[in-house]
Amino acid sequence: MFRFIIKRLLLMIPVFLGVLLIVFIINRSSGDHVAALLGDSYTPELYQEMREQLGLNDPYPIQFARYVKGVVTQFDLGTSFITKRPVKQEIIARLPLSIKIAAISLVWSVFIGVILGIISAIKQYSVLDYSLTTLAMVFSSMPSFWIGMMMMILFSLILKLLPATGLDTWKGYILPCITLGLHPVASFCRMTRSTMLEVIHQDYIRTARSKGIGQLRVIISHALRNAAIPIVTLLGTQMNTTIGSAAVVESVFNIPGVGSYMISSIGTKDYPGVQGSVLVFSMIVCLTTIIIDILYGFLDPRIKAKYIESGKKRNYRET
Amino acid sequence: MADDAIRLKKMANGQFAVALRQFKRNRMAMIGLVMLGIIVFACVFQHYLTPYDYAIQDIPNRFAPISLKHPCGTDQFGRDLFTRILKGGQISMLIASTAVMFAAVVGAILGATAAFFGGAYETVVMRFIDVMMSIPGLLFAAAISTALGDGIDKAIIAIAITRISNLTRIMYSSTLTIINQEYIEAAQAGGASTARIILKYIIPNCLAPMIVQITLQLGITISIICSLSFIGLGVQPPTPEWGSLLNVGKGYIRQYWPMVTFPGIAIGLTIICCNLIGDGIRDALDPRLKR
Repeated sequence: MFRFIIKRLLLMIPVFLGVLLIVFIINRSSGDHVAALLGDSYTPELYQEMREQLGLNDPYPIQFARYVKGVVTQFDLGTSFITKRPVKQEIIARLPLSIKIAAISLVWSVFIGVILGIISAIKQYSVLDYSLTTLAMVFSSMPSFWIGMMMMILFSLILKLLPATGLDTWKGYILPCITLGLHPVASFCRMTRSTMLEVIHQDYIRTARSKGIGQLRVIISHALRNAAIPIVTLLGTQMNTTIGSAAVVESVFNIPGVGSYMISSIGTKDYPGVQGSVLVFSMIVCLTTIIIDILYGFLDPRIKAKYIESGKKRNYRET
Repeated sequence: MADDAIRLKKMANGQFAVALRQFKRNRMAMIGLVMLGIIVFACVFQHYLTPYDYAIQDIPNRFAPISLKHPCGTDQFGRDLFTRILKGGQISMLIASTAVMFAAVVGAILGATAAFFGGAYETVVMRFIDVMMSIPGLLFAAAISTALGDGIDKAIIAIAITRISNLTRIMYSSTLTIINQEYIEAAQAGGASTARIILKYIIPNCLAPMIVQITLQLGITISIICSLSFIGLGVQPPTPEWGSLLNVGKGYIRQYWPMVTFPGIAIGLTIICCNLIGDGIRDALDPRLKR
């Protein structure tokens, strides 16, 4: 089991390096860093000196190696064009809030989505089923930030029930987390419904029922356990898309997270800020993918068996 | 009996003819197709459909209430919003379809060659695709846009790059399935050239999943281009792309709600149509559902 975890962690390193390479290429192609850092008036000598200082005259592989070393050892994500200070300060200050909002959204969307999917599957072809699937499809087609704005208009401006922006009270969390969670809820509902439908028609469920096990226990202990694996896969994918929409939703609701920092950097053309934010988000996605892969090992007995088998000593000869 | 036999023989039985028939039976997919047709028609012929110009300002009429004259109201400069939405549809759908086509061609070539030639090339390509998939789509497009700049053409390139990974994966897995089949081996043994194998066996069999994925990616791409313009990259105001209409409307959300409502409805409707059509194509091409 331990070897499985180590192997998965090691596999993350090339992916991580690849992401760094992509962000590095984008970083070096996005305008003149020296001119942006020096400001309005500078002499050619000062320009050349700054170039030397930033290491921009070295060949690209060396620049990349230095970049990787900077990110890994010091978490150096570049210097802001506007504030001339390291980007990481701003991002690290804002990161906990972004993670909090994304986590709340995903947690509630998993719960509600799976429950709705189970209900939809049990009562297949009913009015509830059809309306849930239609709602799921409609909600997952609308852009999440637009739904956020519509809810803001409805609940804050017309009904005046919830605050429109800001996180002063717990009420301020409701709209952003619901908005961010709508797409995942729709996806989880559809996915749970289709896997549960496949599982429910299997023979072992019929056996369990014929043994007299109650409906609830059949669903949870037998059906859901087998349907869990595709749902966990979906969790990984949804993490990816949720982080993407989190940036925009944060800006709509004025939440001071990494996403709104990225968007304000776009507005002020502060490219290191944008690239640093993208790098941080990608690292979060990488980490969640690894955790989900490791979770597979615990959930899917076939994967666990494969690694336990390969660890056992062979004390028989294969003929 | 003989009549039945003659009738059955006259029905086209090729893969795509059967799929087309199956698709026509799917009511939701046909609704999606018709709605998308109407949307595309309205956007393409915007100039003839509305009496207003999308760019000419009419300040006395700014923030007009919704009426028959202005079914979606007017914007902060008095321009009719319905006209701007139709014009914006041209731009949004142009960018989305061009980006997806570009990504499909590049993805198909990459995926097919990776599966076909294998070796180190295959490993490098697929690892790179894995890396590209770990960066969230919108953020990746945003980062590339910072390097490329603004404008319709640069937006197309930025978004196309982010869509390549999905399409490459689909092409790769379907090519891999096919080239491991025995009939390919039989064809090679029979003396078929590589070109003939690719043209006659690989491409027709990979076309089906690719078409499904392309249609579904179209919906996702429209969402991404609108989000990109919403955050200020890609297409800038005053170009009336749907996302940038929402971006401008966001500033007036407290006093005039139509500016954020109607472009969003347009986006949502278009994406729903793409999803319905994509699901319909997927069900039509699924051999298990054949009747």
